[in-house]
Amino acid sequence: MSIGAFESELESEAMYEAEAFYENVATAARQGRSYRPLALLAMKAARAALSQGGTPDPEGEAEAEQMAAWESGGSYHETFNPRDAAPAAALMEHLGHAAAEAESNGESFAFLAPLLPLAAKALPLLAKSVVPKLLPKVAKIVTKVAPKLFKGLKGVAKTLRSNPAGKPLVRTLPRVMQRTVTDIARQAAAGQNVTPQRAVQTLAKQTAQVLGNPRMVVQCVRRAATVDRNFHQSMSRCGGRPKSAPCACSCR
Amino acid sequence: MNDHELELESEFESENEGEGFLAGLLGEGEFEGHPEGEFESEWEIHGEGFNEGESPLHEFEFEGEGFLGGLLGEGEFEGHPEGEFEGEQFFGKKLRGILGSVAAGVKRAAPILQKVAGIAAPLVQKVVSGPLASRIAQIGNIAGQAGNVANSISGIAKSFLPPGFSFEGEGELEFEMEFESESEAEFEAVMSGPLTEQQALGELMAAAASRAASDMEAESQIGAGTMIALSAHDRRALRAVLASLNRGSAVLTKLLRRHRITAPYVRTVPTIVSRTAVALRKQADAGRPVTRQMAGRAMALQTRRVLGSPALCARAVSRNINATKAVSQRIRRPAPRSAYAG
Repeated sequence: MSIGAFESELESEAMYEAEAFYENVATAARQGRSYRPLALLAMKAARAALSQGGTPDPEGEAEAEQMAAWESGGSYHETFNPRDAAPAAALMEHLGHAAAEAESNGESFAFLAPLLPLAAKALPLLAKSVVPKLLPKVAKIVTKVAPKLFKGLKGVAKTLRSNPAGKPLVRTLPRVMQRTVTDIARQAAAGQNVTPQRAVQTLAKQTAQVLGNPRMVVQCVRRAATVDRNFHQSMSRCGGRPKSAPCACSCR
Repeated sequence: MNDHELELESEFESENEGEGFLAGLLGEGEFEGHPEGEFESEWEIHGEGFNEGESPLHEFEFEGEGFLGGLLGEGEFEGHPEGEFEGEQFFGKKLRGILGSVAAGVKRAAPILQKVAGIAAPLVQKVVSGPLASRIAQIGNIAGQAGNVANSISGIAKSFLPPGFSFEGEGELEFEMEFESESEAEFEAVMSGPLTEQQALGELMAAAASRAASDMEAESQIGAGTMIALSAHDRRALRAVLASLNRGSAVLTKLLRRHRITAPYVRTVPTIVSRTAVALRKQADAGRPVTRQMAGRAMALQTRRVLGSPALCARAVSRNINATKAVSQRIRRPAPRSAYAG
C-alpha cells in the first residue's frame, strides 16, 4: 500500500470516527441526557485551558512590560460601533469553521488567534446587560488578559484536535470565546478585579459548560455551519467571485 | 556598509555596554552631526517625529471608526462606488481614482518606505529563517514605545544581525539569482488577478490590523489574514514554512505599525506574503524542498520589492482598499439575533 493510500485510509477512518461520535452526541442531545465521552473530553479541554493559560511565559519579563504598557492605557483607543458587532460575530464563526478544517495545528491556531479581539468587537451584541459606557473598560481588561486567554484557547484547540472525534468540535470555540468575554464583561461591570488567572478560569469554566453539554455542542456546530454558509453567500453575492475562478476556501 | 550605519552600530554597541539597550534607543540627539543622517532630516520635516507628525497617508488613515467602519474609509473616497472582488482590470475608472489618491500618498512617503524596506527585509529574513521571532518582536515593542523610527527599527535590526551585515546591496543579488526564474508576470497575476472571497477577507483583516488598538490584536489579525489569503493548495505546499511566514508577517506588521506614517502600509503585507508564496510554490513545483531559509530569503526579497517600489506599494494598498470596501459592505448585514445570544 502506498503512503498516499494509507494516509487517505487513515483520514477516512478518522472521519468515520468523528461522524459516529457526533451522531452519539446528537442522540444524547435529543434524549436530553449527558454523554460521558463528551463530558470527559470537555474536562480534558478545560484542564488544558487551565494548564496552558497558567503557564508562565519563558520570556515573562517582556510580557509583563507589554502588559504594563497596555494597562497604562496611553495608546489604547478602542471604539465600539454596534454595527460592527454582528459582522465580527459572523467572522468568528467563519474562523472557527476554518480552524476545524485546517490541516495542521499551526494553521488552526492562526485562525483562532483573532477570536478574542473579534469577541471584544462583538461585545455590544454579546453583553447587552453591560452598560455601553463600560464597554471600553471591559475591552481594556480583555486586552490585558488576552495573552493568557489565547494560550488557554490554544490548549483547548490542541486537545480537541489531538482527538479525531473532537476535531469538529473546534467549531464550538467561537461560542466558548464569546461566552468567556461576556462573563468577563459581567464581572468587570460588577466591579470585580479580573486578573489573567481569573480570566483563564472563566475560559476553563465556559469550555467545560459548552463542550460538556451535548445540546449546546449540537447547537453550536449547526449554528456555525449556518452562519458560515450565510457568510459565504453574503461574500459571494453581487458576482463577487467569477464563476470560473476556483474558491480558495478550504472550509467548503 | 556606509559610515552612518557603522556609526549607528558602534553607538549601539557602546550603549549596550553602558546605559543599556533601551537608553540607546531613546538617545535623543544621537544623530546630531552625522552628515548622512537621512532619517533624522526626514523626521524633522514631520515635526517632532512620527507620533506627532502628520502622516502623508492621511488620505487613507481612517479616523475613529470601528472594525469595519474604519475599513470603509467613509467620506474619504466618496464618489467611488463599491468595489468588486474581481481585481483591478474590473475596477476601471474607480480603481484609477483610488490608485491616484493612494499613489500621491505613497509618493510622499516613498523615501521613508524605501529606508524601512531596506531595514525590514534583512530582519524579516532573519526572523523567518530562525527562531528569534518572539524576542525580536518583544524588543521591537519596547523600542517602538521609546524612540523614533530611525532608532527603533534600525536598532532592532542591527542588534540581531551578524556583525558586518549590510542592509543594502549585498544579498539582494543572491536573492535575485535564486528567484530569477519567477518572472514579474507571475507576481503581476497576484496583484491584478481576480480576488477570491478568501483573499478579499484576508485583505480586510490586514486593514483591520493596520488600525488595531494593540500590537497583539494586529498580529493575530494579520496572521489569520495571511493564512486565509493563501489558497488551500498553497497552504498544503508550504506547510513546512507556514509558521515561519506567519512570524515574518507578524514582525513586519509590528515594524510598520511602530509609527503612524508607516502603519497604513500593513495593508501591503498580504500582497508580500502572496508574492512570497508564488515564489516558494514555484520552487516546490520544481522539486526543490522549501526550507525556512529559502522562505526567509523570498519574503525579504518581496518585502524589499513591494515596500521599496512606490508603484507596487500603491497598487497593493489600493487593491486592499477596494477589497476591504467591498467585503465590509457585504458582511455588514446583520445576522439573526438569536444566533448570538450569550
